[in-house]
Amino acid sequence: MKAFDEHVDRILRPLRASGTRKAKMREELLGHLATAYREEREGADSDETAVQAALARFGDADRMRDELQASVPALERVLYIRMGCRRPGESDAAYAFRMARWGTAFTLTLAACTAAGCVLSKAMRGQSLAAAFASTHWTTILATIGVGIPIVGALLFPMFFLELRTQKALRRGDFRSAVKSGLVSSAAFAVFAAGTALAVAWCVPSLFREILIAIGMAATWGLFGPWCTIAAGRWHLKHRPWIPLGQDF
Amino acid sequence: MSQIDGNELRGHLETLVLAALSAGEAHGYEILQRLEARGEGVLHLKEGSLYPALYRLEEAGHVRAHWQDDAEGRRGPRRRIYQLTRKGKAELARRREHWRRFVSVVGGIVEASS
Repeated sequence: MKAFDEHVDRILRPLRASGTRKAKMREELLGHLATAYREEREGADSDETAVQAALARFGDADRMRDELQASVPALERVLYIRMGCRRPGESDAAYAFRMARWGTAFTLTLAACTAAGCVLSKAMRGQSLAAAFASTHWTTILATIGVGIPIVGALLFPMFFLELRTQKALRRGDFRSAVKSGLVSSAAFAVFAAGTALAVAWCVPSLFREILIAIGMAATWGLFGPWCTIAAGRWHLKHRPWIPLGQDF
Repeated sequence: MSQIDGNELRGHLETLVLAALSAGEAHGYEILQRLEARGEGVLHLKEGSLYPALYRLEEAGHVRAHWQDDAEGRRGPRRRIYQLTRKGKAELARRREHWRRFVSVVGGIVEASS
């Protein structure tokens, strides 16, 4: 029933929780509303009256959303922060650009933390902090970050774009296109990871090597990303898609 | 008799759910019916608020749930059946004890001042 679908989707869609958890909640809440409706229908004048009575018994959507959000484990709330969601009216390219920006900022932070970690590890091995700082090849690090970070950004943009294409293909039920996008995406990550590995092996100073290894490892993980999307998408295809609710959702 | 609404039940809902489940496994709607039956028409809570309490209890390991096999040929969404775990039974016993103490102390004060 559309009114129930809308009410439940309005409650659940903004939740910071996994898709699996939301799907489970949705089925259960819809089941409850359907039972309440059947009960109300027996004494009501019309379907509409029964629907409104069932919704009134169920409770306010905003309040319920807050309560349900509080029932989601803290780690899951953090992992499913809404940063990765499409904004209303946002184009594919704008979405991919925004996500690439976040990814690049994250990589930059990771690189900075790795460099700081290297300095600290030297200091812990007996050097004074000042000496450890002075003996670090900052020029090389800054130069390589200066080159590497734009490369990461340039890689992430098409990756997010392809990820979106994969998701859209899955939503259409076009599994072949989803696999094609996934293959292109994985191949790009593989080239990037291999390039990083070669750079580490042949021509990089020892300190910066650790930063590159971290980036290379992240890229290797990226190989699996599209296949996780496809696996999750196939699972979601078995369930009813979210219904359109307007700009706020 | 005036009704007891969800706000007054806040903080006690999980205990009520555990107590309702001590009578045997049940799905969400059935738990509500048990609460209403035992509440003699005075309890009045928004039905949706039951589910966050159930999910919290499930997360804490006090109840476990499984989807009902649709052997009855019922149409529509499946139902989740909840049952108390051993940990949940122990938790219910602890909450009952706490409740008795609470009623004894607070009730004593309230009654004494009337």
